[in-house]
Amino acid sequence: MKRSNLLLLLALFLGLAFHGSALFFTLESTYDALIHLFFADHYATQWWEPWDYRWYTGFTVMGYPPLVHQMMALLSLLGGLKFGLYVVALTAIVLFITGVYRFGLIMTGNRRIAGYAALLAVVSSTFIETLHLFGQLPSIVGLSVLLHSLPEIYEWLRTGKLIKLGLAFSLIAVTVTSHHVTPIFGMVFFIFPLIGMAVMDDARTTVSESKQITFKVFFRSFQKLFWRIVAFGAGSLFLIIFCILPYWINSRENPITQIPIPHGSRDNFLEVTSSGLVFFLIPWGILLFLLPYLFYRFFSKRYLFFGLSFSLLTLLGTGGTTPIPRMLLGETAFNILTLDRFTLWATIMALPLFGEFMYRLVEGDLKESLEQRFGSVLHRITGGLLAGGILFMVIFSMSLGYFRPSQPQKINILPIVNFLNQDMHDQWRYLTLGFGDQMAWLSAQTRAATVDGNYHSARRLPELTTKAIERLENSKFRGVEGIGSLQQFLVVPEKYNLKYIFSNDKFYDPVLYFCGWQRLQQLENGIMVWERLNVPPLPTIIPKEDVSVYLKLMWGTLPVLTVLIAFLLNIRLIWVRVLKFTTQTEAAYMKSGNTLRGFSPGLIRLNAVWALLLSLLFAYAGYQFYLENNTQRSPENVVKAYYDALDFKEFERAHSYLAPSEAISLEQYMLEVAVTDGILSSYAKLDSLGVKELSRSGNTTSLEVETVWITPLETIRRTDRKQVVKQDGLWYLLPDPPQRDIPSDQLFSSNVTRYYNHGRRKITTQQTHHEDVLEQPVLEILTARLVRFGDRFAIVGEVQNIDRVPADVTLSATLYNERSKVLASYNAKYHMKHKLMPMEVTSFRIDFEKISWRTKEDTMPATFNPDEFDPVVLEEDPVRFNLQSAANIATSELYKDVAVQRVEFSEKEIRGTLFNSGVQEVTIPLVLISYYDDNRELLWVDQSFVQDGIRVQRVQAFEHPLPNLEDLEVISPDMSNCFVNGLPNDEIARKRLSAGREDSKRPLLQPVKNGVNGFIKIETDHFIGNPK
Amino acid sequence: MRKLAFTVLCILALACSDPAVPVSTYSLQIMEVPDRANAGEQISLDFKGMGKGRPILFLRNSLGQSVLEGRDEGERLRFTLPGPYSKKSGPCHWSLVLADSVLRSGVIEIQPLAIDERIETYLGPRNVIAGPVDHTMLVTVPSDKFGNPMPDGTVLELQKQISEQYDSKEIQSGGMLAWDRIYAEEKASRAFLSVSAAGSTSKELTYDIHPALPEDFEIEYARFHPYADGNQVITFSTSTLKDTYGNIVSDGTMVSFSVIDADGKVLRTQGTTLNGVAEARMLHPDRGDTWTVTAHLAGVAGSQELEVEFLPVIRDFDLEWKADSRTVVVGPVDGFLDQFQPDGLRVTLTLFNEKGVNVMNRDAELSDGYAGFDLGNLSLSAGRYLTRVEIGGQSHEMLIELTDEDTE
Repeated sequence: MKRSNLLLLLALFLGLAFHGSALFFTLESTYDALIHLFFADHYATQWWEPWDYRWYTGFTVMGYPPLVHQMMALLSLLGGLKFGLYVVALTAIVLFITGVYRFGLIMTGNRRIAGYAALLAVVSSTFIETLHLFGQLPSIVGLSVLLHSLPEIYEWLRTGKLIKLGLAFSLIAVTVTSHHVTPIFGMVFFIFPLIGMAVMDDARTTVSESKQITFKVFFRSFQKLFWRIVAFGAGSLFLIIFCILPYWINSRENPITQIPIPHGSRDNFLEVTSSGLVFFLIPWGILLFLLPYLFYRFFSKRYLFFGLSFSLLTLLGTGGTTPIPRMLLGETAFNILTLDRFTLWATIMALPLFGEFMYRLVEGDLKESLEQRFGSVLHRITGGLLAGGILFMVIFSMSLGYFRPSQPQKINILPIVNFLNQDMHDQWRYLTLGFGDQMAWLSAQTRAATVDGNYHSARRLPELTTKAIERLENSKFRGVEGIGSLQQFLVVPEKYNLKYIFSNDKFYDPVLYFCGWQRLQQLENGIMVWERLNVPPLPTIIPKEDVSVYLKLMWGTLPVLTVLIAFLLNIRLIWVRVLKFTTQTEAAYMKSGNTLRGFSPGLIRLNAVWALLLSLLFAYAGYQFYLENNTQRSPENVVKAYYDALDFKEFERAHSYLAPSEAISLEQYMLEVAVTDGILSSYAKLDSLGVKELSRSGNTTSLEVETVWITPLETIRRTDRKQVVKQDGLWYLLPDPPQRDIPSDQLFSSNVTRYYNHGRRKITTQQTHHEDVLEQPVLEILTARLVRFGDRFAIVGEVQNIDRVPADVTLSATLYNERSKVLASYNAKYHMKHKLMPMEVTSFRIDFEKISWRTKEDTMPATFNPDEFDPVVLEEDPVRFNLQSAANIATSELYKDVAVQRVEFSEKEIRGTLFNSGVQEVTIPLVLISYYDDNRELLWVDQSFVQDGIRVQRVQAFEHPLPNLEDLEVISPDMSNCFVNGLPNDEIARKRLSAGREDSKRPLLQPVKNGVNGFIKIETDHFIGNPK
Repeated sequence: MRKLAFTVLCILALACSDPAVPVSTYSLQIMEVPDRANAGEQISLDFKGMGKGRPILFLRNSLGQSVLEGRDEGERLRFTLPGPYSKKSGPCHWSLVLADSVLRSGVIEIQPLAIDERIETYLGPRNVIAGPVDHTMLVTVPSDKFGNPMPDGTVLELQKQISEQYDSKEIQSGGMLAWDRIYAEEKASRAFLSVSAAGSTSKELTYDIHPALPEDFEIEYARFHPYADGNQVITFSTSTLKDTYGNIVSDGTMVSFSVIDADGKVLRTQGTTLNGVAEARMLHPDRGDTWTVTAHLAGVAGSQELEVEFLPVIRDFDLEWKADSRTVVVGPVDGFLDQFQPDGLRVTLTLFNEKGVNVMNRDAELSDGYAGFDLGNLSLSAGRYLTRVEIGGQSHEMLIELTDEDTE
């Protein structure tokens, strides 16, 4: 009779208490948990149908092994989705701890050591990170079950008992259906070494001492076990293929076209230290100090194969730090795989030996050896240091998610769900911005579909697969590709039936506004809803890629079946084991463990030196970090710190860098800063900063500061001059002089017409009552011409609202060749005023942008530029165009009170000032410039964003470079295919303006000499950040 | 798989089919079959048949086709038309069929009931433009309570109220509909319509007549003083914008004001109308100027030219070079009442070197009547410079000398 292993029970108890309670505070803000929840919701609502319309205009869930999701779905029927999530997570914890225990048993053949390993598994930083920071449940479940299968495989190889083979197969099947990468790489990194170890142990039984195991002896044992190995190998290969056959078929039919998305685990950890921390230091944790011991033990004869595997895993886990992983894996695999999983496996593989070390330190030969040689104090200190280190790593990795949240603050999803259910809003697609992974949680709770999604391997739209962005909703983090990809959806939303955007990040507001979107309402959870008019609802029937019924049946039944079979097969044994009905034969691995005979003093010394060196390295790194970040140590540092503070809007900190001698109070500073608004101060993210010293005299230094700011609209490069002074040993900035301008009126009034649209006047669930549908305002396209400027084609023109109500205008154009074949189609983006008051005119330009970097050969620019224009490459020259204008009544975003107060021209640019005469503060003014030839025929339209906002009754300077229009060519001025709300333009114009237009009543154009002699017109449009 | 299923189905179908009944053995007598009925009545067809087999009734009306099974009522075989067939007006064709033969056939003419108390009406567009051209269209579908159309020539009365003027006319239905074009009037207003017939009426229908395009108009301006101080606001306003019929244009109509300054630069401001009057504002220029202002509704209507003169606001100012702090001090700057000019007026400094080359331009804002330019930290080489300072169109020059120590 054997006693229950107290250490294992303790580990399970602690593990469930610690991880089980922490889960509720961490799991939902991890990267992956909510994605799995969405998949679970899919299975809960439609178990047999693999197609889900809610992400990426439809995708198949056959791209991810279903077991964990299906288990959550089944459990959700009992207590809801989150109940399912937590139950599965708790199960994963139990499986993991017991899995490590059993792995420890076969590795060491010592229950006590295995118990130590199980305890260390509970506090291992790699497990904490994977569960509480990444939330990779399927990966943990897959790995844990794989660990459980190892003893059975070993027993089959050693004893040849068929029941063991059956058990091994049943567990491998569960692994396969819970995670696809784990069994494939697990075969290589866990099972191959295990087979090697089994053969080695078999060889050991034939000789009296392990030194006698020669290659010949080993080979003989290999021959003996060969057919068992083959039987197992063939069986598991079959299981890997068969259990998730639909997955393999799907990956062949829909190969992943996604271009690689950068992942921190592929970075050079020395350059990108944050990635080094997350993907190397944290998972390794305290194990780093024991590397010499681990390698020494792994390369002993019995563990040789594990040693090779461990070294390879360690190496692959270092990502892009050295070129070796790239060479080993090949370019493709390197760019698809996330390499952190190698580190995860390496650290888990090391757990039994770590357990062994701790066992030896706490109660084994190491303790004796230390006490004999250095006395008991050093032993206690070593123990204390190790325990302290483990505790530190546990607390550090648990708190990482708290101090550096990887996700936006938790959003109350309910108001959004209600909004989508209301008034048939779910008939359109929606998009979230700035939600992080919580978008998956929203998707799980609504029937409405989004164009975005959170499982990028399943994407199908080329707009997404060609961009290395994770999601549209956090596109700002991926610079040009991100915003560029987002813009393609914002400018042509009707293509995707995209009508609503839920914005949790005001960074995107300007790009939404200038792409023609309008604010609809702010929900009670603070999320702003933007809408776009003139977008048709989703058709009732949306195409999908269907798969055969057999595959659906396999997908729906096999995974759960594998669990049932494994459960039934194992439960008997567990009962027998737990209740101790019968005496069991001792497992073969229990006899093969190494006996530990004394701790080599050389190893103690080596490890001590290594640990010391490592500590010194960390101390040095910490010192360097301090020097880099000591803000007022040098002129450069103080300038960098000041801009950093401004970037993060930490004005109190920014104020602390201003010279005390200037005596600007914080209050005064806040007054000066608080009044500045604009794209630079409110919507820009500092991308890079360069400081150049201009001159230095004594304690004063003049610096030129070059900054590059990322904004949602364009990249802004700015050069500022700053003066810094040294006072009391610290460097300070001299503040810029404040604005002196005082507006003439303290209080003034302005009358504006405001509009209200009832929507539904009659409360009815009918699709909108016909009497409540507003008529589309009538527009007239005044001019439209197809022009070529350099290598790009564009349609320029002017359109007027000739109705009596404000109009929201959408312009879309199509280019044709001589045979009327469609060449390209796009909508007007920034180059127009999207909202027109009655009788207002706007110039417009429609560019034909291609889906960027569609082919692999297209190179991506390395630097950020959201304004990057990528003209479509046309196979033939366009000769004709079709222009469709559509108007809908606009009731908001109608601020027009900005005047062009002053203009000056030089050879290269226009400079001027704008005056805000109304009662709203303009956050981002847009200057729209039209160029005419000397016959006053429109040639070209371009635009500039003004970097600073315009406060009420104040002026703001703008400048705009004049283009050289010499090589501009008008291809077609033919307006016969211009349409307004689907009706021919000239017919409408004739009806509304039967008398015709009088040229003399056109607004005056500014004569200018520029490239071609001609005229220009300046118009303005304005984004109001906080409408009052 | 599909082939197999098909074969199985065929076999099953064959197995279930009855052997054909010879028709000659069946005799039939019509007991009671109406040839005319009112919609919604219960309509039954009674037959008496002798022989083997059981005939079915095949029905066809404007809705479509259907087959009825009879019911035995004593000796009679009775077919009762289901609701959708008995409520639908128009001919309802019937045929009594046994096996492949038609035993009897005929038509029942179903008449619509009286016109329903609610007449279905449609009106659109709901907004028209004043004048003789634009119109809206009323369409009514006079029908009974089952939705059966009234016969052609049904007379309806169209009533209209507009600006307390009542009007009515008769319209007749044809092809199931009665309709009329209603032309806009000259006065912008809201019109109310209804359609009625004996015992029935429609809901209230409205449409709006909106003002047509405006005519030319006048503009004027208002300001508090005539000086170019770059601070006060000048307001331009239009006369009331009206169309040919005297209607005030819709609120929100945009009027664009173009200003040509003395340099020929075109400045621009705009405003939207409220009660026909649009106001637009601009700052006074910051130097003496003459503006020529016109206003337009692009291509549709325009105003006269208006001339506005701005006088220079600055009487005079002083310049001083403070060598110790390397600063050009401008001021005091006196305004038109000898007052300190309000803060924020633009002061421009241009620096020329000894060869007369422009080396630098700097702007500053007036503060408490003074402005200063610090030349110390601008990396200028030592030497003599000519400074020219300009405020509000007035400029003064001064020679200064920078020493090496200054330029450090």
